[in-house]
This record gives sequence, structure tokens and C-alpha cells, in this order.
Amino acid sequence: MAGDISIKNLMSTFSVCCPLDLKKIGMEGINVEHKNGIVHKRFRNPKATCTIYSSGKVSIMGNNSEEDAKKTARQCARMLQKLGFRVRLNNFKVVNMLGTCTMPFGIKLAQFAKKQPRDKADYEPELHPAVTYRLKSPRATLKIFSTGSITVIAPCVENISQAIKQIYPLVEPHSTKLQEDVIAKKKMKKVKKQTRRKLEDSENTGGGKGSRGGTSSRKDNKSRAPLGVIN
Amino acid sequence: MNRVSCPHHPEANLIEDYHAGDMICPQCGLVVVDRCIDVGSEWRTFSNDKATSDPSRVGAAENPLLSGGDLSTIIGKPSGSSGYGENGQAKYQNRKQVSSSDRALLSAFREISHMSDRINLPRTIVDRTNGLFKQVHEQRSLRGRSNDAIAAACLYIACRQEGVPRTFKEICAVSRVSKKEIGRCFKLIIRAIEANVSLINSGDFMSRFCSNLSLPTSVQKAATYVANKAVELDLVPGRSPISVAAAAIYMASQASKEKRSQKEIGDIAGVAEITIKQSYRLMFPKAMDLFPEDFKFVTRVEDLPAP
Repeated sequence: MAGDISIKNLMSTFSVCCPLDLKKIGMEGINVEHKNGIVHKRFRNPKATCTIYSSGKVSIMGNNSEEDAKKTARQCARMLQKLGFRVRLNNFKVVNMLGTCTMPFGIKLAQFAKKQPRDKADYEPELHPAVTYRLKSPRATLKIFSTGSITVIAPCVENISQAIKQIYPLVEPHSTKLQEDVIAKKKMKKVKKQTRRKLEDSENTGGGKGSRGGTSSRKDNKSRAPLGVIN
Repeated sequence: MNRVSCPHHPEANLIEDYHAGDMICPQCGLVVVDRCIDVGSEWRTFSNDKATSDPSRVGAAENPLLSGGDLSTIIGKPSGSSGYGENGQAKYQNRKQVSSSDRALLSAFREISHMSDRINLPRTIVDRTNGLFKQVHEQRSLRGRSNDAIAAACLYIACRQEGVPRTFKEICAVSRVSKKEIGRCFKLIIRAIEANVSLINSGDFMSRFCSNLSLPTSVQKAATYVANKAVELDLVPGRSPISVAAAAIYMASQASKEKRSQKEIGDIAGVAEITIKQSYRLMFPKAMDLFPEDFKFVTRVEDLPAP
């Protein structure tokens, strides 16, 4: 049975229906960076980055959920409106999202890559330590690591969960027991993240409240798509 | 191909007697063909000869598979005083018209031969690389990429297909392209021409690395065994086979008379010292199981350096 999938990164685009003067945005906008003919604007809440082109197309990266992405898009359009452009939030589309999932076992990549057809699985240990698996029927790209972590890049959450469902029976025959230190490292990573979030939390609230009750409050920031039992 | 054969012994392979220009049946001694013409070249050409006195009347060998039958006529250099006009320049200029597609191919082939010369690759690999490059060039799906990158990637693929893979870093060392770009072109080419490349193995690099480190064959064999065993026992999950090979060489050399430091091995293999240390750390606990049974330990397993 696979673990929960968490959405880590969302890439979306929209268009304001007018050409933009990047120089003006770069000078008068807040939290903007004008580089190489592109403006990058960073948002704090929700945390994301917008890449603004002079044609009026905007691409947003770094969100954790689709609602957040829409919110960021609206914030960006509002900012451009305040700067004086006649904007309209047009054609908002979530292009890609990155989801991660961990298998409870390690995976023997060399064996796995040998069994798969060459056009689907790509394993070059010199270039990247993961097997890149491309699925066509839910359109998705999966990166399968030897620790059992799988990252999926697909246009929607449905695709991601279907992709993981498809890959699980392919990966399971090549499972191995994870080494002790790898398991310990994974646990440390989780603990480190939790303590880091606790610190961030206490910063945000001005240090007054200290730590909130455990990390359960953090769950709503990440979209979790529970998989359920896979047979 | 035996188009002619002895009438009495049709199965026999005819022997060519080039002194007399005869083809003779070895069974009965019958001269089957006489006055057969030797189709070899008239004069031998060496690369260090100056181009001025080349007595060959036919020019270089045709490159049949690759450049599309370049049967053109070239105006030669002026030989006597009448060849020069009023201003002291040659009267008839040599306008050799190489077709533009051939020009790109020819310059790429030159680059490929330079690269393979630097790492002493045999002719078979160079020919295979040229063939791959032409295939990629005709397909045109990698048009925007620099020809040097495509050439380097083709060289990498050719080495792999011939069963003697070179690491990306080794190819990078003889080419001016970055490893990233070569890797990208490699992936694109594999998809474009649907080539088949097998996964790399630690053992493929053992002979080259060990001979560069002047290690005896006993150490090389032991290192190969150690690397294979380590992968089999899954001690080094997620590590590149090159790093595993380097760590195996370190372990085997440290157990033998010819000890090599991690830095030396790292220089030869193109692996960072830290990476060797990490892989060695993973393999060290099971060192006793990794060595072959008949290995002669100069330094025992207990005395191997700690990772």
C-alpha cells in the first residue's frame, strides 16, 4: 500500500489581455525583479513566484494547491491593475503539478529499468540517480528513486494518482528492504521539516504564541490526496 | 565473393597468386583466372607526406555510406609556369563545390576523428559514430543543437553500443561541450533514432581504470568481483556504477601490494574523492563477503583503512 501523495509545486499560466510595460513594473512594483526582459514577482501569502512577460502572459510557480494558484493569479492581476494597466484575468490554466509519494520499500532501479520498454523507462545513473518513466495514458512523467520515493509531474491530481496506481504493480516486484540508515535519514528529514515549520510559525505570529498544537495545523497548506488501499 | 570457381571443385576457395596475377584452385592446381587485375591502390599515402608530390591518380577512397558519392572534378594546383597568369596568381582557381549538407557532415566527421584520436578509439567505433551522426543529421529532429554536442553524444553512444562504454566525463574531456549538453543530446538522439543501449556496468570500466593506475590483473579481477558482489548484495543503492567501481578498486588495491589512494583513483575515474569515500563506507562493513575466495590478501580485511 502506497503512502499519501502530497502536491509540492504547481505551475499555472494566465493572461492579462493587454501588453505590459516591464520597466514600469520593475520600478514601481513591490517585490519585483526585472531581469533579461522578464519580471519576476514573489508573493508571500501564498508563497509563489510569478513570471511576467511583456506580451501580458504570466506564469506562476511554487504554489501548493489549485485554489492557492488562483489566489496568487488574482493577487498578481490586482497588482498590475493598481499600476495602471487595463487587466483582465483571462485563461487561467493549471499546466503542471509535482506530486511526491513514498513507497514503503526500496526499489532496485537497474532491475526495474531492464524489464521496462526502452521508450517508457529511462535510466542513466551517470546523469540522474532516478529512473524517468513516461506514461501516455494518464499523461505523466514519474521519477522513481532507489529509496522508494516517486515524484510525478502531471497536469492534474487525478492523473497523478492514476499514474501512481499504474506504477505500483510495476515497481513492487523489484522492491528491496531499505537500509537502516536510509530509514533513519528519512525520519530525520521529516522531523527537521516539522521543527523548521514550528520556527516559521512562531515567527509569523510575532513569537507571541510559541508553537501551535503540534503540526496538525499545517495540513491544510498542502493538498493531500489519500490513495486508499491498492489491491 | 566467388563468382568464378574451379570447374572440377566448385566448393574450393580460389587462392590468388598476385605475383603472376592468377587465381589457382588449391585442390587440383588449375589456373582458373589469369591476368586478374589487382584493384588495390597504386600508391600508398602516408599522413605526414607533403601534399605537393602525390602521384596517386585516383585520389582518396570514396566514403560511400556517408557523403553521398562525391564524384566531382577538381582543378589541381598549377604545375608549370604556364599555370600562372599575369598577376602571379593561378590562372584557374580550384572551386571545389562541396554541397552544403556534406559540408556539415564533413566538418563533424573531422571533429569526431579528432576526439576519438585523443582517447585512442579504434576505427570501428569512429565508423559507427560517423554512421550515427549521419542518421541523426538526416532525421533533422536535433536541428538546433550544436554539431559538436551531437558528435560527442554520438561518440558516447557508439562506445556503448560496441560494448566498451566511456563515461560522460571522459567524452567531456575530449570535447568542448559541457556534460549537461552531451547528456541532453544523448537522450534526444536515443529517442530520435530509437537506438538500443544497454545499462552500464561497473565491470566495463575496470580494465581501463586499472591499467591507467598500473594495477596488476589480479587486483583488477578482484575489483571486478567486489563491484559485482556489492551491487548483487545491494549495498550501494542509488550509486552510479562508476563510483562503485572506483570504491571497489580502492578496496582491492588497499588489500593487495599495489595500494592506490582515493585521490589517484578519483583522478583516473573522474569521481570525486568524497564520492569514493561514501561508496567505500557503504561497502566496508561487508568487506569479508565481497572479496573472491582465492584472493591473496597482503593486507588483511581487518586492517583495511576505515572509511
